[in-house]
Amino acid sequence: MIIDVHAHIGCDQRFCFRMSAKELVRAMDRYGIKCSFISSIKSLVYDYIEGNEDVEKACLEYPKRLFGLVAVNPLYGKEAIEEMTRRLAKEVFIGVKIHPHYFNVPADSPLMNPIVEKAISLRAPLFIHSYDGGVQLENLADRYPDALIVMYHMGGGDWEEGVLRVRRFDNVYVEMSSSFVDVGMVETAVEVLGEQRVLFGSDIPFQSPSISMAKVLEANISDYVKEMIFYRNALELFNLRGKI
Amino acid sequence: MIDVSSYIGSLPKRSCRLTLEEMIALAKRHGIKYMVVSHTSSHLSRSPLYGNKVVAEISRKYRELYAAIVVNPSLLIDKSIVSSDKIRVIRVSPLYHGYSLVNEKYSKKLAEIIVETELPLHIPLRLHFTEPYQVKVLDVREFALKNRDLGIIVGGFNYDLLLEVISFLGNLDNVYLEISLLQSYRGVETLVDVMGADRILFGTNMPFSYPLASILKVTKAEISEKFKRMILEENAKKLIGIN
Repeated sequence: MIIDVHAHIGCDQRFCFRMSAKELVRAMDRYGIKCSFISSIKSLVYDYIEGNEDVEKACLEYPKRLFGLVAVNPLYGKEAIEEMTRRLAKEVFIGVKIHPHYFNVPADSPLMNPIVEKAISLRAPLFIHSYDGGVQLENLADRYPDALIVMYHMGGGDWEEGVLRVRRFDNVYVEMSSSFVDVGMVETAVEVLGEQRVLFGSDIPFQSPSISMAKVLEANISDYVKEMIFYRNALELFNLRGKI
Repeated sequence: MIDVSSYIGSLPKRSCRLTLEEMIALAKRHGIKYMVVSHTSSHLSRSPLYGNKVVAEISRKYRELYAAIVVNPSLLIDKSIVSSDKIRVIRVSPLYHGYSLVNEKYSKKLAEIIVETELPLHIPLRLHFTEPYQVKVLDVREFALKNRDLGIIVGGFNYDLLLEVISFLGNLDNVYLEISLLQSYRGVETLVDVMGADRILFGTNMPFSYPLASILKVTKAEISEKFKRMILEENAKKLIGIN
């Protein structure tokens, strides 16, 4: 079984992507993915609220298979907080998605504070993209030891620095998707952070699920640890027992 | 399977984490029978001579390896190196070697050596995700248009260049595309739809990437088994002459 904590629906004509909820679920079936946490590409490149609307519909259409991440752009201040609160009150939403690059707000910006504080009060995990070797995320995690944070992409190309930067924060978990299929990525994350803090994510359709699957399957770790990364960690961390 | 795009050596921002023996063993474990390798020092240094000599030597030593020698047309070319029958491909790195593929002086010299050696040309647009692009897709198009009789392999691109690659190279039947750095969902299917399965080649980017990622990209693709065999092996056999 696989739980994918990083997936997308929506279109991106720049890259020939068209991912409907139906197509995503079909892809999940092909790759053995039981459930996925989704946000919409529309939230990143067009309108975050419309994207969230699409996510809600998709999750309602495919219960137990798709769980929503509400994407919020911190630049929208109060409106973003309201959007986040409204969506997270619905059962299909499981957490908050922040994309510092597309939203043009660094993860450690003071603009993030109200979002993170609201997430803490709602006990919602934050899923934050990190391509800078974890620099911004380290600063954010330093301010908020009570926030549950998933670092998408493990810091990007500088993933070794990324895992080292977040090592001291027990509340930060890493997700390994990115175009990099470097030898030793998953082993390093497990060694530095412990096997419980590493989660499987595909970033479909930007990446084929083949990419992250290969990273885990090729890693020199036990089969049980591979299972932890593929699904056991996410199952416990996000209380998914009985829900999928 | 035949991997047309792997290397020996390291890159400035990526050290090689597998020994040559480990790389060969890993490939073998996954059913990759042959790999075409160039030495990264031949791409990174202005003079490719040292790296070319190393790959020529190791390709004679290991049955599983074929060599890709790197040519810099702005320098003298040691033609004696292509005498080995284990050398099957010529690769180029125009940015690192300080020339343009559309500068007639160099493109002519490059075309001449390809005709003379009867080897296909492999243009990795970049060597890895940490590396700069070596050449523009439009420049590759211009070179390929002027040299319609040459077999040209283009690799080292991801989804960010997919539209450009398809638009500018899709209708050139002497151009083949190699998939080692194309990571997007349905990337392989898109190439097959647009270009045809006979112009797609399998590559892994070893030792910088695990080969399983590229294997799964093809084996999990929604294309026929026949197309998978073509991409994984048969196209390379024909183009590179490996039996």
